[in-house]
Amino acid sequence: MKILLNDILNRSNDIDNFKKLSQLLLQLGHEHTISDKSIDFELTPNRGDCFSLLGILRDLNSLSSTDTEFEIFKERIDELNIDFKNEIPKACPYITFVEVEVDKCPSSYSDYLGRFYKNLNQKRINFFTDVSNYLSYEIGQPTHCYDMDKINDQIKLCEIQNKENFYTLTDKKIVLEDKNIVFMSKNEVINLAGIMGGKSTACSENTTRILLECAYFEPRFIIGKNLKYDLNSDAAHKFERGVDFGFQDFAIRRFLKIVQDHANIKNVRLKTFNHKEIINNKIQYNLEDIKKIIGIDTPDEDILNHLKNLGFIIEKDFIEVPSYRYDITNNNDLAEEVSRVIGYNNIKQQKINLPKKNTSPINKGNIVREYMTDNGFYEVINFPFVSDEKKDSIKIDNPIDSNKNFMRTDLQSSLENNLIYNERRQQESIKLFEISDVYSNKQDQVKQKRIGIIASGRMGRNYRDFSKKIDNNYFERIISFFQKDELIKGIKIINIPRDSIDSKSNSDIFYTEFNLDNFINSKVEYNQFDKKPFNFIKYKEISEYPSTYRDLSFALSNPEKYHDLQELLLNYKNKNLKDSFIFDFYYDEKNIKLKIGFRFIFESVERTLTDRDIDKIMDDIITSSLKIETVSIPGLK
Amino acid sequence: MSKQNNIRLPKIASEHGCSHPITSLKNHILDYLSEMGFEIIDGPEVETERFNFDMLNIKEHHPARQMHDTFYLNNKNNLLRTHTSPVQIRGMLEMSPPIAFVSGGKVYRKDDDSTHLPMFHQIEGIYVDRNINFSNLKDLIYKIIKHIFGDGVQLQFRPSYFPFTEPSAEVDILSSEGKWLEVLGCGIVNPIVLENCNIDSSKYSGLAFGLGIERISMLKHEITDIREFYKSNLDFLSQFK
Repeated sequence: MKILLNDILNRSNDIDNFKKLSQLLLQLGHEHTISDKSIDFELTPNRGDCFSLLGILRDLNSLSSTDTEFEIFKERIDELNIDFKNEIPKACPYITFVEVEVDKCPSSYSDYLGRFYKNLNQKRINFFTDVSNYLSYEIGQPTHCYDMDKINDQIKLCEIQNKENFYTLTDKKIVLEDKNIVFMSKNEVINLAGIMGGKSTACSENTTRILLECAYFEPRFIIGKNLKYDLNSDAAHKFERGVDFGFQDFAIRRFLKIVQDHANIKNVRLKTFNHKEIINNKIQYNLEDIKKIIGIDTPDEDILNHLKNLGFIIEKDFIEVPSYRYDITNNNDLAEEVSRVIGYNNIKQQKINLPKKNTSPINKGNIVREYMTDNGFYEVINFPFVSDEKKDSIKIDNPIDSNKNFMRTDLQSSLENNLIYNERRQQESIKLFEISDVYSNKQDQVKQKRIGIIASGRMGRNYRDFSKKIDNNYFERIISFFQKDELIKGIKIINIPRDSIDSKSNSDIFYTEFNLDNFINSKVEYNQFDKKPFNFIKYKEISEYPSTYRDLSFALSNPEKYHDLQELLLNYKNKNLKDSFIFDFYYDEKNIKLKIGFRFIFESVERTLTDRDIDKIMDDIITSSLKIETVSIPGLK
Repeated sequence: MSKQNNIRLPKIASEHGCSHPITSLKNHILDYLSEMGFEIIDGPEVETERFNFDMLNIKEHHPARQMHDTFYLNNKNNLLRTHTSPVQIRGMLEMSPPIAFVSGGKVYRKDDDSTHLPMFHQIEGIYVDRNINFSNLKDLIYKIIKHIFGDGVQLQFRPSYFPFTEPSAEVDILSSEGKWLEVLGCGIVNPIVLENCNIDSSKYSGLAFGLGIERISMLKHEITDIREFYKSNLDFLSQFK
């Protein structure tokens, strides 16, 4: 919601700059962004009363002196003769119709109306609709204007359940479905109540006689319709959050005053159809309770003044809540109001002492994590949504997309996808695991905590393991940890066939998955070695471009010099060198010769690297290496 | 490869993997809260409307309950929890005050764009005892935020709205660029929620807080795209060793 900055500042007696205004708004809980001419508010949904200039001024008045008075039409208004039937008063307990006729509509606006349309870049439509839209901005009460010449029969407010085509006043066709509250005339929907009027009775630039509808709609009858019918209705936005139920009389007279400021009113008549008396809510308050909730020792008088400044009427035994604050119902609500005026940041801290508790049981899931990561595995977390239905799968009624209709009942397909993703990113050694609850409609086991483990490719990225591929023995050794636990039985290793997987790699894929619920009671222990303290590293951007590698094998006739070579190459820095490691190491003791192989992996975050880019870096690496005594590169020309 | 006494073999670089950064941060925060006296409890991700909404004073027509915000399951008989608060309801129904527990886990909302995901992680805590007030809540929040962001962190409390707390607050920290960034929501437990859990609100009061782990992790690690967490990219995961 946008409000013009000057509309606030001109009505404030002691806020003279944007910074102060911003601080006060934040203290009151109104998030906002200030731009050149306006403030864009992001209001909490409970504060429907603040969705207008008046609402913001009223709240600011608790911290500073603001003018919340607006001129109204003060002349006598005769009764309107109108045939109206309200079949659903629980949705609309208060409604008034006003017939208004003017001599001539103005073609342009100067003053406040003109500034609103110009400075907020609002689209002008026609005079009466423009006044209605401005009124909503100014005091927060939505109204609707029908062209009186297009209303020739009874108007009925009712609930319909049948499918019905409806053309909005913005000429959008929507198909009304399920339950909708509508205004009907001559068996035609003329207004989607509280949301948007219809095209058939809409005002035009030539309209000089209107029927104004000013009502209060219960939020529950409006919620969701804006989204459902893809309408961007300001009225619905306000009714959803709750407007002032006791405000219609003032709103109508303010509407008429705005009209009167711009045109000569020839005729005005009014009829109110209220189904409930307008009675403000009353709360039995307890100042000691309010102070206890906040944790303050403020004098009673100060607290009462804070509440008075927010519009509450203080009586001996109760507080009368203004009709626009429908969200206030108990002492906790009042405590929040008082806290806002004091300022949350001004409330002092009081030391908290929690009761002593029994030691928390050791999280066995974390023991599993420690074991797996010590063995080179990385934990992944996947979304639980899958396309394939399995026996006992839980169906999602409203999936995020049509390919994700079911909850997964196992982790295999997620981990397979993770493996393929990394193979496509040229990862040569992939070891992943996931620990997750999975859910099904199975009667005896709706929830299971499962672990899935997948591995493929090289055993490691070092000279000892680089040439070895992950095999069944390796995988068996990994999962033998779990087999120590007699509660976990029948762990099976699956060799996932490559023909079912869309990947160029031909390394064997090993997978296992089992239930970890019993592991919670397991006696298996594991002491993580090399446990590091938790540390926040700065994330390095990941490249979306392919990586490429070069291998270099060196021969050294003085083996002692390999340390210098290793020091140089493993610490070599270039922004496009992603990684380097020793993949081969051979020492010929008899002939005192040493061979050492380095792999260099290149990647750029900006573009795909060319051979020329890499050659340039490699040339520098080679030149630097050959400066070390006795180092040679066999086969180098 | 041949081993020789005179030659020291190259050190084999660490071949450790690592836990997911979200798991690591979750455990880091839960461990601290556990040390403070909170008991760690767990609850199901597949929930009912009763525990996810009704008991938490989220009324039948609240926008969060609409199909466009919540994943419903099995013809609306169940839903995927939209926050970890139902775990607190279950905890309060099982135990009598004084109670202090915390829960962390996956939650689901029907969002999918560059800043929101349909699944993310939360940690929520609750402490119910006699005479718990907003000043106590502030003390607790200061401790938690300082543990995560360091003693020098500057924070501010702003009024906010959650149906299950009253008063409610959002907490921001000041970034190195001078911007206030929202990191946590908290408040005094709404007495309606206590009564829903058979706790006498005239005798007991409570405080509650909740934070999104992805958001904290992004701030701490300077990760700019939330989607990185769930691509399972080894280039990403291996940075958190």
